[in-house]
Amino acid sequence: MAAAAESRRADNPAAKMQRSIVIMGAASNGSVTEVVRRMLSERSITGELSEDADLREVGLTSLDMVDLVLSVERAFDVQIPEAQITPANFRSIAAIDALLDTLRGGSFRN
Amino acid sequence: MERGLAPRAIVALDPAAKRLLDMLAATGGTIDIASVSPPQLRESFRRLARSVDIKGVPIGKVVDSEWPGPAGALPYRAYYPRRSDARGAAKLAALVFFHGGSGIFGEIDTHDGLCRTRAAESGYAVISIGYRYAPEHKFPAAVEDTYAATLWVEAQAAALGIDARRLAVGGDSAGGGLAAVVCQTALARGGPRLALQLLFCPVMDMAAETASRIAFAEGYFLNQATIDWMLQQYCPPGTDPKDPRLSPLRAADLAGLPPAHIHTAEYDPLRDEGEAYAQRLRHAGVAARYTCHAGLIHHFYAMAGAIPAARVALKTAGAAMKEALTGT
Repeated sequence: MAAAAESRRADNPAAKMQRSIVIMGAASNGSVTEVVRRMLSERSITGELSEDADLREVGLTSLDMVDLVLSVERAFDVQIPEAQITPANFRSIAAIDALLDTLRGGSFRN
Repeated sequence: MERGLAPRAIVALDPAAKRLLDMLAATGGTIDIASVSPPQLRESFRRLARSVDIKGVPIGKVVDSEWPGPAGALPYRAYYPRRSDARGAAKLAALVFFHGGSGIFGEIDTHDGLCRTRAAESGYAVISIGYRYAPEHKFPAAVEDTYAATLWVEAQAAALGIDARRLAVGGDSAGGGLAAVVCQTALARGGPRLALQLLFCPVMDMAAETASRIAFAEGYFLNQATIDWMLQQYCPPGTDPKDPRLSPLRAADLAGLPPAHIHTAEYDPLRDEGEAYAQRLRHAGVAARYTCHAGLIHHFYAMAGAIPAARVALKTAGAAMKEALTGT
């Protein structure tokens, strides 16, 4: 029922697969991009999207950003600690990738 | 984002509610104003609702259709409880529900979970009403629509399978204010005798300067700056914010109004005006049940999928609604 409980569900193969991509440090980190692209297309926002683009400037509203945090938690089967829910960590696709790497204890981007 | 200190806040902010506020704070702090168009806001709100609304509520029949509004057809959605939840009689008591969203956004879909749980927990029908939005249709369009909808539901009770003599109205936030105005209008015009007014975190006073408005002016989902912007969108220039159709708390006389269930949230800027309405109703001899939900925030009732405590609060509210409409 709760998003948090949902995000802890271990039996989600898609989430597992996406997580493994992050852990392996795949070059594109395509899965965060996918989450963001899906959100943008649902909102009929089109155009180029770079990893460093400011998502607010791209056109996501603050309510969208709450949805984005929840979507990232669901997609990657994580609960993001309160201290990590900051403007900087959700500013761009690259920032979210870096956050997920940190949460996984990875250092692929250093 | 700094959050003001809470006067009379006894219980700590609910952890799940706090997470949502943190997410909002991390990304702008409130519902965007100025930079976002009303259609964009509507879309964002719709998407967010899909993430945070309660899912999987057992329900019987759900019917989407239209009702003839004063300025054209508008949508409604009727929820009927499962037969096993229904109260036996063929004709069900019903709640006519007006969703919140400042009269600018919000829709039947964004309040689907709230309406489903109202029907499931009370065992009665819920008719969720679509009404005209601002800024395309400014005040008093929504006031006219919600009253007209109430009259329409009463007139169509047989077709809707409900009991016209056991009709409640309710709403949340701006919709709560509209429901209160429907009750006042019905009393003044000799309209339907309503069995209950069910208000969740209602907007009761657009000129309020209460302790909760001040303490929670920033960082608690609904910022005062946002409220001011919404009022501007909602009203034509020159509207008096003390007009009782905007600020039902400021109506001269509340005697004779239907019994009320008023639910507020402890960390909501609108908390004190909801409480004040309950007090004024009681002073006027109206039975008013007032519940301030500890630790919760504005809009908690529509985010029960992400705030487990909201689920508990809603159950309490549903049981009270059931009791009130069963006795009538």
